[in-house]
Amino acid sequence: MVVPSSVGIRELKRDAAKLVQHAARGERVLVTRYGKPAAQLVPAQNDGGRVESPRMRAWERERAAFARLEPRLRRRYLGRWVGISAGRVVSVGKDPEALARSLFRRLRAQAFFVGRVGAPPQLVDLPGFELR
Amino acid sequence: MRRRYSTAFEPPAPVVPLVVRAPGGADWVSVDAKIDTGADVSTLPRHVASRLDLPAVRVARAAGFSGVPVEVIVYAADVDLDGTRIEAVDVLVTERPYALLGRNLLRRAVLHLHGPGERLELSIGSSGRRRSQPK
Repeated sequence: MVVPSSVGIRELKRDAAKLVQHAARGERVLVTRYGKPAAQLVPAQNDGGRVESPRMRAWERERAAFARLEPRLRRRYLGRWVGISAGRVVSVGKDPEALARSLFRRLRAQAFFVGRVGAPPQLVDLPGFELR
Repeated sequence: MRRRYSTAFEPPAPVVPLVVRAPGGADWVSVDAKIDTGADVSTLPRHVASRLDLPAVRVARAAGFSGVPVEVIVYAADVDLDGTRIEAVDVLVTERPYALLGRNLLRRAVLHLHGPGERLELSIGSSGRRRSQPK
């Protein structure tokens, strides 16, 4: 079956299994309603550029620690960037890149996570890219 | 540095060499970086990040041309650009075979693009950053 990159609701109902299979392989399928774009089928997994390594697993632990600590950190650090290492706050700052730079100097190879307290992750624009 | 546009792209594109290291690391990889004044953050190919075992730092939401943000991991790398080392800069990892030189690095550079002549000139200010060459 040739899967079109754009389908209407009727085709979506008729060919749902094939279209989902196609999307799961990484191809986007645009769903149109009355001829206008309405939704997209995209792959469920997004690894966000994850590079698997022991270092990454250590970083994931610090990230989980940040998520755990974050409700308590709001009282003191709301809106500020904090560095988490070994499960505790090791640094606080206003600029995440500068904070990370100072932590690399201080902690060397020890993993750390930098997060902003009480705010969603920063939005970055890469308009020339398709991101999955 | 002065460079001709790369004809590996159609139309030819401004591309510069970038030397990448893990923060404080000795091992390095050289990669071609396409200049992208629209990208907030620079990107590296996945194989470069894997080989250097770049450390993850934080998460961000990145919006591509569709505008739909997806969660991505922000890594840190030391980069040498025009002989100047810039420490622990934010980079994202993509499946593209080349790097993108985004605004987080371009804001440190003076850049002239000569479209009709298909050439560029890029230089980095000397504001306290040390000169370096790959070993």
